[in-house]
Amino acid sequence: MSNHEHHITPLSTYLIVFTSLLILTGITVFSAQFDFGSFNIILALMIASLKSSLVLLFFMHLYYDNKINLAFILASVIFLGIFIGITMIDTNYRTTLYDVRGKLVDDQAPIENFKSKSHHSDIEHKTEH
Amino acid sequence: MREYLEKNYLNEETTIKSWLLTLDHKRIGLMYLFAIMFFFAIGGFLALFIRLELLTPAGGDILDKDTYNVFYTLHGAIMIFMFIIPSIPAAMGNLILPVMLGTKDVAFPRLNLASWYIYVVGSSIGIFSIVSGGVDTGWTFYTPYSSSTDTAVISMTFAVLVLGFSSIFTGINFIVTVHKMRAPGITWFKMPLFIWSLYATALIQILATPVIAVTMLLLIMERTFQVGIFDPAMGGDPVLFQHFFWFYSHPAVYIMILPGMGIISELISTFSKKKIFGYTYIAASSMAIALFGFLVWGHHMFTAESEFAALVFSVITYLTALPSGVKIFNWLATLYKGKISFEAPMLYAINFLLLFAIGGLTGIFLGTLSVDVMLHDTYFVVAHFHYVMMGGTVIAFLGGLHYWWPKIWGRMYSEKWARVSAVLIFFGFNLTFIPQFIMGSQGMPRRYWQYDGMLNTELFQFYHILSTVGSSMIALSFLIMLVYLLHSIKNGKVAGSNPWGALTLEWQTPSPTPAHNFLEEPKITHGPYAYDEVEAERTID
Amino acid sequence: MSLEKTKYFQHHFVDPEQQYESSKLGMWAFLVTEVLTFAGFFCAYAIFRAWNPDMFINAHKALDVVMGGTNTVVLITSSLTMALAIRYIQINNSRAALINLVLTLIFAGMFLVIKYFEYEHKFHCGHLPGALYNPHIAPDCVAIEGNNPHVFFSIYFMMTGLHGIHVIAGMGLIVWLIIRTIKGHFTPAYYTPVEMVGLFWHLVDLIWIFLFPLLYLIG
Repeated sequence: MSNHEHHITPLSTYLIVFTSLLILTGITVFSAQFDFGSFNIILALMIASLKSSLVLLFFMHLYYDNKINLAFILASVIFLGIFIGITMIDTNYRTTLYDVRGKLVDDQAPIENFKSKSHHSDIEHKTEH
Repeated sequence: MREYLEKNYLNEETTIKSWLLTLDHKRIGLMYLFAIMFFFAIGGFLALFIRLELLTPAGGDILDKDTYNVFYTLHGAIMIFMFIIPSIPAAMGNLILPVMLGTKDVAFPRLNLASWYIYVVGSSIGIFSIVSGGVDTGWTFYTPYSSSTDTAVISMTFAVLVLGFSSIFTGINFIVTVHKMRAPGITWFKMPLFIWSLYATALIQILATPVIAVTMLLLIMERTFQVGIFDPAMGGDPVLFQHFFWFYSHPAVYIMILPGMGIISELISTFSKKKIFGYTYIAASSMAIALFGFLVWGHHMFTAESEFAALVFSVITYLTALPSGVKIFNWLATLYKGKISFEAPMLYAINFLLLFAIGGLTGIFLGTLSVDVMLHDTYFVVAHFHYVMMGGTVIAFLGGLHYWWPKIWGRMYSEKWARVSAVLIFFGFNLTFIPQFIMGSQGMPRRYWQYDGMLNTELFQFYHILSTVGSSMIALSFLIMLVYLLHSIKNGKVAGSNPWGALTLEWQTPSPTPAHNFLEEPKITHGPYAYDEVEAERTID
Repeated sequence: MSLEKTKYFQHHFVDPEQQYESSKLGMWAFLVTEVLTFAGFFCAYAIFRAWNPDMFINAHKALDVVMGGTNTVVLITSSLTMALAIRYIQINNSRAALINLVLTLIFAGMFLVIKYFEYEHKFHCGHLPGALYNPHIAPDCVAIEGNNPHVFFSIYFMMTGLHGIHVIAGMGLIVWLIIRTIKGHFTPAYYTPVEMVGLFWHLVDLIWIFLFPLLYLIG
């Protein structure tokens, strides 16, 4: 049986991807000087995702490969998201308290240890709805 | 044909080296089988001691309180990490999966051998931990106790970490084998359902197991360097440990049950001589269970996490019951108007249907927030998980063991004694654990060495006695099983290639299996459950 | 020479193509486990950052963006040379492949050297994980305000430490490839190990692509 021809990526593709990665690195460092508030982390993650997509698709050949390989790595990222996201449903809502009928009683119930004082000092305590 | 294949995988080569350096998946599977049964026995003995201790409300009948804590911790850790997680995938899967797929071996035979050695190393580290005095934290290793107790936590958690890699490598192997090495003619929807279940399990293995490795690593870091991420005094969070731990350990229970369900599909179809009802739905439900299993871990933490999170997890837990329900109904529909025969494997399948149903349904009680607040950390939980893990997975494992035993050894065991054992286990199991449901709902806490001075102490003692009697029945049935199974290896009736008249590919090759699985290229002319089209010849009357 | 006739064809496979595709899928399945391994640490990072946002912003100033940025460029370049090494084997240019493998190894070493200097500075300033945290306010050390600053360093050391262990493992694998390339094991018909190590190496780069902004560029 003859060997199936494997795709050989052109040198130019690799060099373009490499240059783009360097440029994106520069952008992410440059943009870190500015404060966009809570958008900071979103921007950083977006740029990092773009960089990693380039690495995955071209350096790691997923663009040219059997798509099952791509499916596996995407699934792992999704599960990473599930892990972090659902855990944060607990850790971000530690202060919410419900009464026995399921009505929200207080979403700033005092829990001392996990608050950075400067972050929440200007938020008023809500009482009942 | 009804004959014993003279040159087979067992005697192809007979040196110790040919076993220790084997690349044959069947030999690896057999080595796993012996190893896991060894640990099952140890875990079982620990349970018997626990049950004996609980015969009286006062503590200290045979175990002091610290030893008692060590015993239930080791019982859990050994049963889960050294027995049940590898049991069906690594032992039965290795023995059967490539043959069912019509291929010569798994995708990565050397990785397969490595996974067995990693299992041996991990288990040895676990034994070292036991010999160093064991662990007393409960198999769940919750912080802050586990980060501060004096016992051999680091070696046991390191053992779990290493064992995790064994599981991961098995998972990788099975995924690639199923994707790439099916014989021509075996499309995805012509695979036996046992393969679907092993595939779904393998996906869970690669996605979830790394997280327990990290969790164990973090606990070791916490103990060694006091990094403080689980310590509230240092700004850490002990509940975070629980999140990390259960993110693996909940999907882990699906690693345990899914292959068992796969075996049940095989048994029910073969022993009703009927095409499995709703093949596609059963296959899809395996994948759905695998997916949902990742979303519900917080139901182990209802009393520890935020109420909002508890609400979310409770709702998703309810949804998780649906795909399992689909399977149960499809199995029942398969039985309906089938030509049912009650050989030992089928007795185990029927055991499974009843016991797993009870286990699953009691899970719903526990998934209800308000009820769980009462039942958490009581014997109700203990009974629930023993019903699903033992009444489910172990029963299915035993069913598979009896089903494939003639394929593995080429000989049949005593059908009479097998039925005795299967029936005895059923009664013994229920006698052991139904009283635990009742006790738990009346407030008997788990992991307690003594229960005197409580409101219901006399009631609890009555149920504990019943439970211990039941556990001795279980022990007896395993003893009987050990004897007739070992006896059959040399003295059993010759089984031939297809003693059950089944249609999956492993029965189209002689028994014991040839070294390279098939003597001639297997031809796939029908689906795995095509009892309506084909009649396979039984090689045994 | 077709792969089947070489000693690298494993006979439980039907043909070399099945072997190659299987190896690839197997490696991707392994990379899935790597992603989920680091997931635990990213989760810890996310949670502690959500609980201590100001402390994190303060603490990250103790990290040197220049060194971190240089390391990022170093790893990206090593990814390029790794990819090129595979490409050169595919077009039967063993010598260029060898050069690129050696370059990859050198860049990996550079990464570790820079990392060593970063760690050394942390030890000097007492910016250490958990109970070892003991800040020395020296002129070249940043004073960190906020609750529980040792948490940041616990996470920093664990994540970069685990990543560093993967770099070392990758270097070992690259050395193995270099030896085999010199011995002429790899041809356009058979270069699977090079590609598999390449995939592992790119993953190491990918993890750093996320670690760098999350640890060094917050705020």
